[in-house]
Amino acid sequence: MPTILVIWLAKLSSGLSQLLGRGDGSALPGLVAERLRPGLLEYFGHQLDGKVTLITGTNGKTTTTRMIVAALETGNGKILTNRAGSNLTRGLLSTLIADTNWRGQLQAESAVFEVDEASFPEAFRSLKPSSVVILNLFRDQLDRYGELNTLAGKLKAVLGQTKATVVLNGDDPLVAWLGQGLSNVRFFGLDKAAVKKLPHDFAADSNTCPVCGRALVYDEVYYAHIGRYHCSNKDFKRPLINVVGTTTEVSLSTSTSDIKTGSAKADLNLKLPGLYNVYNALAAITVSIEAGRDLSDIVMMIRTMPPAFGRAEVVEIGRRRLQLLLVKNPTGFNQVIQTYLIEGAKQPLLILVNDLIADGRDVSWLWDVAFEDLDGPKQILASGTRAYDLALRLKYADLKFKLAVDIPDALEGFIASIPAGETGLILPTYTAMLGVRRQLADIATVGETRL
Amino acid sequence: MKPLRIAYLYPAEMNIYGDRGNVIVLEQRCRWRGIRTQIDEIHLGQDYDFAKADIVFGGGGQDMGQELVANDLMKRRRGLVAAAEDGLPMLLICGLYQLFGRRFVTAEGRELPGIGLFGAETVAGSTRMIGNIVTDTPFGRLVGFENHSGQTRLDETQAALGTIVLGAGNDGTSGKEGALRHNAIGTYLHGPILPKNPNLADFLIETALRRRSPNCELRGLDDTLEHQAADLAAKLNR
Repeated sequence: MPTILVIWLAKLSSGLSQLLGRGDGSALPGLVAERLRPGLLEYFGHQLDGKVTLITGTNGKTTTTRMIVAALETGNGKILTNRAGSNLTRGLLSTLIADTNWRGQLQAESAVFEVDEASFPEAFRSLKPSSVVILNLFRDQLDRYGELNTLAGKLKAVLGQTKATVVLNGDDPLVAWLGQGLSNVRFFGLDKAAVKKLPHDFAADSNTCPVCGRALVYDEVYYAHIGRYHCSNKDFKRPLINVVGTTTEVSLSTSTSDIKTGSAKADLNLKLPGLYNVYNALAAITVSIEAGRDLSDIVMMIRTMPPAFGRAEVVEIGRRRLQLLLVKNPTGFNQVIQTYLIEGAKQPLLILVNDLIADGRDVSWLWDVAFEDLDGPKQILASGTRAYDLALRLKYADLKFKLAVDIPDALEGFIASIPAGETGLILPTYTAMLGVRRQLADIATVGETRL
Repeated sequence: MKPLRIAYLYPAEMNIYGDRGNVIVLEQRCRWRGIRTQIDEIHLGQDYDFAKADIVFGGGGQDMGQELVANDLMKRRRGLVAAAEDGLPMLLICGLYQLFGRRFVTAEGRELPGIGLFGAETVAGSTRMIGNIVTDTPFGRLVGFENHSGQTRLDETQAALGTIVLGAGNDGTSGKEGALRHNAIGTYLHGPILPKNPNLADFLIETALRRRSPNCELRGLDDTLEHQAADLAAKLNR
C-alpha cells in the first residue's frame, strides 16, 4: 500500500476513534500504520534528517524530555514531542502521523522523543537521531524488559559505532559503560548529593564491574547503584564527568545545585522534588549544551517547569490537596521514600499496586522497596488489583495500614480522611495512576488526562 | 537460646526478584514468636562454615553474576552437601536452584558446574517461561511467579517439589516443579515465595529448631492476610 494512503488511513482511524469516544486516538493510528506499512518510522526518520533526540532509561524519561523541549524551544522551528506514555514505536508513529499534512509531510523540523527501553533499538535504527540520552538502568518489570545486563547489551549493540552525540549518566556504572568506544560521548553526574542513601535500599543492580564482574567499590552511593565508584581490579571507573552537579539542598518540592561545565557555572534551582529530578535536569542541560545553547539560558528555561503528569502533580479538592507520585519500580519507589517519607513526614498515604501488563504482572518488586525506612505516616491505605500483596509487604515491615481492595472506594475514603487544609500523598503504579486521574477528573480540575 | 542463623548466599549477586523478601519473612516470623535471628550474608570468596547455619537461603540473579557465583559455590560444595545430608533446611530459588543441580548450560553453550545436591541438570532454553505459577507440594499449594529460560530435568530418582497446577515449572513439559532432597528445597517460584506461603516458611523454621531440640513445636501465627493474598494469587491468570 502506498505510504500516503497508510498515513490517510491512520489519520482517519484517529478521528474515528475520537468520534466514537473510544479513547483519545493516540495509540490507534500508530497501530494501524505499523500493521499496514512496516518501516514507516524510517520514512519519517528520512524527513527529519537526523534532527531527532531520543531519551531512554528506566526512570525520568518524561520529565527529562519536557526539560529538553523547554530548553531547545526558542521560537524558530517547531519541535515535535510525544506525550507521556506514548513511548513505544506505535506511540512515536501516532505522534508523527498527527503532525503530517495531507501530503504526508511533517510540519515540525525536529523531534525530541522519549522512548521505552525495549523500543529504543528500533527507534534508533529507524529515526537515526543525532543525539541520544540514556538516563539510568534499574530493575524494572523483569517480566517485560528482561535482565538489565541483557538490556544494556542490546543498547550497546544498537549504538555500535554511532557518530551521534550520546549523553550518559556517568554515575550509573552500566550506563557509563555504554559510552566505551564511542567517539562523541558526554557524561553528566553529581559530585555531591545532599541526601543519604536509605538504610534498606538494596535495589542496587549494577554494583559489579561491567568489564570483569567483580564488585565495584563506591566512594559514595546516592541511591540504588548511583554514585561515585571504581572497579577494585582497575578494569573500569567512573568516567570524567563533563557536566557536574553539586547538590546542596533537596526538599519535597525544590532542590538547589551548582552546575559546572568547562568554565561555565550556574545555579540550578528546580521547582521539582528529589535528587532524581536533579539528574533529569543534568541530562537535559548536557544535551542542550551540545545543541549549542548557553548554560545560563538552559537553567532559566527549565527551573520553572512544573511536574509532569502524575509525577509530583498536585490536585486541589476543596480545602484538601492530593499529591500524585507515580511508583513503577523499587528505585523509583525508594526515591519517593527518600524524598517524602522519612524524618517524620505526617501526610496520610494511599498506595495502589496494580498488576496489568503496563504495570508488570509480577509484583515481587515490592519486596525490594525500602518500606522498613518509611517513617512518619500515621495512616496508610493499601489498594489496587494486588492490594493483598502490598498489605503483606507492609505487614512484614511492621507498618500499620488499612486495606481497601476496591480502588474507587479507596480513593473516596482516602480523600474523606484527609484533614481540611492538609495534603494526602497517593503512590500509584502506572495503570492505577490512570484510574485515579480519571476518577479525580469528575470531582476536581486535573491536568491533561490524555495519554 | 542462641539466635537462629540464616545463611544468605550471595545477596549482592543473587537478588533481582525481591529475593530478600524471603529473609525478611523468616526474620519476622521468628521475631513474632520471640525467636532471635542472625543473618549471615555470604559474599564471593568469604569463608563460611555451613555446619553452624540453621537455615540456608539463596535466590536468583542475572546471568552475568551466575558464572562468578558458580565458581565460588563449587569451593563450598563439600560443606553444603554434608550440611544438607545432615538435614539442614535450605531454600534455593531460580539461579541457585539451578546451581545446586549438577550443571547449568548457558544460552551461549558455556557449561557452569553445579554442586550436585539435586539430581538435576539445566539447559538455558530460547524462550522464557514467565507468569503466575501454582503448584501442589507436601507443604500445601504454593503460589508465586516464575521468570526463567532454564529448563531443568530431574533424574528419575530425584523427587520434585510439586506438581504443576498453573504455569511451566521445571521445564514446561514434565508437569513438575522444583526439587526436594532431605530438607533442601529448590524452586522456580522466584523472589518472595515465603510471604504468600507461610507453611513453607514455618517448615524451614520448625525444621531448624527441631535440629536443636527434637520436640520443639512452633507457635501458630495469625496468617489470615497471608492466606487471603495466596487465595487471590491462585485465581490469577497466567
